[in-house]
Amino acid sequence: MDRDELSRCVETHGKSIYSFCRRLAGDVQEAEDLYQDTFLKAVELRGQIDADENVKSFLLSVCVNLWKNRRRKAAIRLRITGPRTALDGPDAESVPDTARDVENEFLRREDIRAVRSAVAALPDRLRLPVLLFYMEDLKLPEIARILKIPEGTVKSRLFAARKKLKKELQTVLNN
Amino acid sequence: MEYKFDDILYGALEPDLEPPRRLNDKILQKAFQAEAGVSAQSLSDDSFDPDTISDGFSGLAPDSERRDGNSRARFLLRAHAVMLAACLALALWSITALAARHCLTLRQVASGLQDDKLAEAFSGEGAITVNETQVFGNYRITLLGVVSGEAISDYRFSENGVPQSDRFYAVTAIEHADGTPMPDAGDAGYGDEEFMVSPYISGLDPLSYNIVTFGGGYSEFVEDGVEYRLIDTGNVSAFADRTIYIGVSDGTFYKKGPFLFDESTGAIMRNKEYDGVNALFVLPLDSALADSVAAKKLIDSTDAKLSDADGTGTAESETEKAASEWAEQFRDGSGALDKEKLAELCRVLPETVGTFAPDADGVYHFSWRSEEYGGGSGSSSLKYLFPEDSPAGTVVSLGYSYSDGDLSTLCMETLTLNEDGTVTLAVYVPK
Repeated sequence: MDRDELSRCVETHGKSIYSFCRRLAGDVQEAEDLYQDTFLKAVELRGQIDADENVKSFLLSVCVNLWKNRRRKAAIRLRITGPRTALDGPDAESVPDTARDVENEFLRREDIRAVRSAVAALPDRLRLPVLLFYMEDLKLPEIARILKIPEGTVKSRLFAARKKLKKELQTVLNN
Repeated sequence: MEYKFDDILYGALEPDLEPPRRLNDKILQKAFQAEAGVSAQSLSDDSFDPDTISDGFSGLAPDSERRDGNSRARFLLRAHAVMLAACLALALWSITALAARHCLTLRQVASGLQDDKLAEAFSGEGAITVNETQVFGNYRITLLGVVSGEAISDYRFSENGVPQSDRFYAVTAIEHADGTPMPDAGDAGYGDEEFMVSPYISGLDPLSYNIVTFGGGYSEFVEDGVEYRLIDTGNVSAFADRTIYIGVSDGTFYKKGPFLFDESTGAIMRNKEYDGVNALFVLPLDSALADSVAAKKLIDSTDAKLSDADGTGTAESETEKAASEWAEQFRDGSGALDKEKLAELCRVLPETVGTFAPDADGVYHFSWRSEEYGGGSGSSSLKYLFPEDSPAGTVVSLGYSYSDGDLSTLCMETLTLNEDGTVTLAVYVPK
């Protein structure tokens, strides 16, 4: 991968990967680290890109692995028990207009924030499939490969996530 | 509103955040400076990164892996690595692997985890160095030592908003007996080999009283192929008038196989029949450390958590695992369910059976209700429900559920694809 190729790769997939990192990491600094590390790691691993694999899927796979590793990493105190931190900070700062214009004209800014907060509050095992499916538009087999879980489990988790989100968002979405 | 739910998620989660230009420029700069052979030290944003001394860390390696923690702690660790490398250069290759093992002391492990205060504590009089090794299959498990006390770490846990400062710390080293390195943080297999390291107390059933219920956690890192783990939990030294163990078993959470608990004597033993890792070390603690008041407080706090189903990590996870395993056994590999196995091991709840046709947009809206098992509903289209090209008769799971951590309420929602394009929902429960 030469400079131009990497530049094109960043240009093409940067927005998608950056958005994914932001929704995944919550904290902006952590998201930027994850985003940068994803591309740098991808350059290292470029020889492993399968010819049949699309580049975005490969980048997401690298990103998810880095994220999982980071969660387990030495310097991060990993509590086994205790409350999970809600990751609603960064979403409050901006809800770009483009998101409103897309498919759901009735989606108000408040709704978008509510949905994003609810997704951010999901446990990782549900949040990752939701982001890969709804944000990155990946198919179930691709998600299964990236998360290294059976396709059926992806489906179960998506179903469970939808159920949980619906419950969580009932009041907001009925208004 | 419900049928729009998928669209709402798509809309709200659309990738819409542009990465800052400076970030993209930095990626390009770092990637190609590294390829051009510029050292990571000169690439660093900071003036000096001690990591670059010892391991020639590539400039492509993730930034955060170099930036974590304070530099002093990492320097101590890396300085040691430099000295070790120099020594190894003089040694025979045949002993290199062994020499590289057990190179870190308790203090160095704490320093490696950026906890200077704990590193001091591990160098103090209260620390107990054990250095006992047990081997199970391809794993060598070493308990390096323990220390306990009030506010002896740079980090402090809070439980339900209450800071916990009276803590117990133990350090283990886990390595492959055949000398192959344990996967490091950046390796593909990192985290695949899961272990639970926990203190256990004689007289207390380890199923209920373990690192999870004692409000514990852990930190770990891999150095020279050895995985070092520091556990941090409520101060179990208060039980020093009993036998206190450190157990290391495979898996993330406590399970019944590795250890046996004799209810009559209170003794905890290794299960010799267990085919896996079940190291058990007895701590040589001074019984003078026993503190009946603190011990009772720890038990009371643990019991309170155990009586609160939502607050019990162990119980919840064990239940979730059992439920997941139950549901997974019916999958046939293609994403569908094995109908014969389903019929053999489950019964259907007749009141939940219903057939649903798609709406004009091809979306199925299904629901079920049972007095005993509650109910559920969902909407989705065929392509998300069934594997591609599924023939009529294919049965898929929509998921399983149970309420309040109670597996007796476990049930699985299924959909069957019919010849006429409708789907039939049925909820199955274990026979």
